[in-house]
Amino acid sequence: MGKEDMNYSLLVEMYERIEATTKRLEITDYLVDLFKKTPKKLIDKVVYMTQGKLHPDYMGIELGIAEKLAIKAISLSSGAGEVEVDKALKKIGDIGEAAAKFLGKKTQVTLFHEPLTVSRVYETMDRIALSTGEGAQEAKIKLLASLLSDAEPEEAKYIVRTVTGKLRLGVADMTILDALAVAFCGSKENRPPLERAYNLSSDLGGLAAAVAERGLEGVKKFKITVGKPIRPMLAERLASPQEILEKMGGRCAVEYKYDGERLQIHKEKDKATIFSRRLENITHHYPDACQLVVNHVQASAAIVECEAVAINPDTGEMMPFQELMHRRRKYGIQEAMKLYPVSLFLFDLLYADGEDLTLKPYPERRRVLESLVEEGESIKLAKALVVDNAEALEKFFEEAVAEGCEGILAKAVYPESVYRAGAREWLWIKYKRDYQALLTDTVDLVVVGAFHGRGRRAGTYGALLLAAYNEKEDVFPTVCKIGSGFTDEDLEKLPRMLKDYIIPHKHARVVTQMKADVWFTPSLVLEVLGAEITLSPVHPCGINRIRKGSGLAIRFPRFTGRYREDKSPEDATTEDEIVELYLKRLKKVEA
Amino acid sequence: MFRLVISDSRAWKNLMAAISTLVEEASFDVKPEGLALRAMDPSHVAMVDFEYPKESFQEYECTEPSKLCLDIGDMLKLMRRVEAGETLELTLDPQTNHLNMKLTGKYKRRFSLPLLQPSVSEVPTPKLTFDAQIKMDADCLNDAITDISNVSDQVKIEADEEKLVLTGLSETGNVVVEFERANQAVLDFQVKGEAKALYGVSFLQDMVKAGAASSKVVSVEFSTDKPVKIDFELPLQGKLTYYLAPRLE
Repeated sequence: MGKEDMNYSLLVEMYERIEATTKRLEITDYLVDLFKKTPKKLIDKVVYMTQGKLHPDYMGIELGIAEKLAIKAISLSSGAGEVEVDKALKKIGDIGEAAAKFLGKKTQVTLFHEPLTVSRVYETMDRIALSTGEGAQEAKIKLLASLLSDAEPEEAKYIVRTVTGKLRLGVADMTILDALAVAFCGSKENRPPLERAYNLSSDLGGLAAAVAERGLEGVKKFKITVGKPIRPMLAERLASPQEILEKMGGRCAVEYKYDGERLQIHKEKDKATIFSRRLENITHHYPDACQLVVNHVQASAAIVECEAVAINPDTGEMMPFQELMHRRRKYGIQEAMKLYPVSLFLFDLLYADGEDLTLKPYPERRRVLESLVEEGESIKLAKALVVDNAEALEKFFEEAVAEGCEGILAKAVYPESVYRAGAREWLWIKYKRDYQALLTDTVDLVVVGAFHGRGRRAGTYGALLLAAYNEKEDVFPTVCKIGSGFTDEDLEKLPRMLKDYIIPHKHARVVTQMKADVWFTPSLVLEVLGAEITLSPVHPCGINRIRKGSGLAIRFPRFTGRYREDKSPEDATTEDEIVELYLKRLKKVEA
Repeated sequence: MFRLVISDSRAWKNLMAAISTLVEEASFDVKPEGLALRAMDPSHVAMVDFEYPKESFQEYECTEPSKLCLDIGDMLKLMRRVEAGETLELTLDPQTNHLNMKLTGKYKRRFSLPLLQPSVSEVPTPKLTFDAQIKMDADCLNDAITDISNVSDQVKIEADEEKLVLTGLSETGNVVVEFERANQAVLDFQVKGEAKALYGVSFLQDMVKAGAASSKVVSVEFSTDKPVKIDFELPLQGKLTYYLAPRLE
C-alpha cells in the first residue's frame, strides 16, 4: 500500500463509531478525525463513501445493485450456498449483516490474499457502478466477490451495504460541512462560505478536495457552472392568505404552483442538461424539454427553473402529476414523449451568459427571465401576479386550482429576496389546498358544450363541457371539462350522437362562464369518475354554497364508457348532490 | 512488429472462450518465443495460465515483447460465426491502437478491436505440491462434473490408490461418479496415500467444459484441502492450466 492510500478498515471503524452514537456533535468529531487522517488525494472519495456514494448525485452514477446479485457474490466469495444466504438474509433482514456472517465463517479459500485499501474498494465499486450491457450482471457479481474475498467480516458488512444502496449512516451534508470547516478551515465558524460553495456546486467531495488542498482559499473557485446543478431553493408553507401577506410585508408575488415535476435546466448553446429536484441528471427523460429551452431561452448559456407538466395531446389539458411517471423510463422515451408530451412553465432564472443571478432580488430575476424567454405553445412563464390583499391572493389561488394546479407559491419581492440555494426560508411560501374532497363514486352529467380536438383528435371533439342539474331553478350549471376516458370509437361516434342537438349559442338553461366551441341542447348523459371535487372560480355548480363567489368543479374527470341513454338530462346528478358529495368527502390534507 | 497466423481459427476461439470463463479483460504477454497469459478471476479463487509457443502457430512474428490487452468478450462476439478451416491472421495497428483480425475461408472477413490499457498487476504462480495426479479423458471428466452440477454447487474430489471419486450432495439428490485406476478413461494414475478436497462447481464446470473443447486429455492434480490444478494438453507444446482454490468444510 502506497503512502497515498489508506486501509479500508479505518473507514469501517468510523462507520461503526457513527452507528453507535446518537449525538450529532460526536459524529462531527469522528469525521474531523477521519478527514485529518485521510491522504489529501483520497478525501473526496472518503467523503462520498461516508454518504454511501461514489460521485455527486448529479452525475447519475447509481451504485444500488440488486440484493439477489449481492447474494450471489456473498455465496461466491464465502462458499456458502445461495439458498442458505437467502434464508439467512430473510431472518436477519440486513444484507450487510448477512455478508459479515457468511464471510466470518467462509469456506471458500482464495489463491492469494491482499488487505483492502480505500482506493481499491472505491475503484472496484466504481467499476461495478459503471458495468452496463451484456454480461454486466455477471461482471458486477465477480467484482463484488473480489472485494468480499479479501474482506474481514466487518468490512464485508459495509461494502455490501454500500453497493446495495443501504448504507444509511444518516450523515447529513451539513455535518460533513461542519467537519470540513473544523478539519481544514480552522473552525466551524467558517462553515458559511463552504455551505455556499456546496449549494452552488452540489459536490461535497469536490469541495472537500479543494479545502483539504488549499483551506478556505479553496472555496473561492466554486462559482455557478453550467452543467453542475445548483441546490434548489425551497418554500415554507402557510395555511392562509393573511398569514402569507403578513410574512411578506403586505405585498408579494404569487405564482401558479403547477402539478408537475420541478426541473432545473442548464442550457449551453444548443445543448441542455436537466436535473431533478433531487439533483439527479434526468436529461434523457425529457428530450422535448431540452429542445424547448434550447430554442426559446435567448441566451447562449443559462440556468432556468421550471415545472414540467404532462399535457393530454388530444385536448391540450394538463394531466395529473402521476402521468409524468410514464416519462421516468430508460427505453421507449420517444413513444412516451408522444403519449405524454410536456409543457414547461418557467419560474426562475439563476444564471445567464456569465452572470450569477442568484444574488439578485426576485423581481429582477423574473424581469430578466421574461426578457429572455420567447413563449411558445409548450413553453411559458409560470402565471404570476403581484398582490397586496388577501382577497386577490385567494382569487388567484382558486384560479390556479381550477386550472389543475396544486396551489400557489408566494414569493417575496423586497430587495433582499435573493435565490437562497439549498435553503428553506420564508422568502418563498407555498399555499396549497388544506382540504380536499376525494371522489370515489361516479356521477352522471349532461353534455352541454364541446371543444374542437387537436392532434390525434383533430376533426372530432377534444373535450366536452358537462353540467349537473339544478332542480329548483331548472338549469344546468357546468361542473367540468372532460377529455379523458374516451376510446377511439367513442371519439368517432360522439359528433354523430350529438349532431342533432347542436345550437348556435349557449342554451338558455345552461349556466357557465366557459366559452365552448360548440353548444348543445342538454340531452346526452355520461357517467363520469373524477379524482376529487374542488372549489372553482369558473364553474357555477354550487356557487356561493361553500364559499362566496366560488362554485365547485370535478377535478381530473374521466368517462367510464357508459352512455346513460336511460337517463334524461333532468335525471343527471343534481347540484345539491355535488355539494353534498363535496362536504361528505372533505378531508384535511396531510401536510 | 507483431503478426500471427492460425490455421484453425475455431481452435483459437475455443481457447479464448476458455480464458473468458475467468476474466473479461485478457492481458497477453507477447514475446518473440510466443504468446502467454496469466490471469486471476476477480475473487482470487481461480486462475488461468495459458501459453502458446510460436511453434503452435502457422506463422508467428514478434520483434519486441509487449502487452496486448483485449476485451475478450468483445473478441468472442466478433468470432461468433467462425467456421472450421478458416484461417485467422492477427496484426497490430499501432496508429489506431487496434488489433486487426483477418479471417480467410470461403471469402475474407476483416474485424478490428480496440486495445485496452493493460493493468499492471502481475499474477504469481501458486507454489503447490500434489498428492494425487490423474491423467484422464477430458470429456469423461466434463460429463461427471455436469452431472454433479445438476444437484449441488460444490464437488468433493477424493482419490486413494485405487480410484478417483467425485461426489455432489444436496437436498435435491446425490451424485457419485467413480473412476477406477484401471478404467479406460484413466490414462495415468499416481496417488500417494489419500487426497480429499471440496471445490465450487460453477468454476470447475466452466473450466472443464472450456478445456475439453480444446483438448482430449486433462490432468487433475490436488492435495487435501489445497487448490486443484487442471491441466489441458494442447497440440505443439501449448498449455492451458487452471488453478482453483478449495472450499473448507
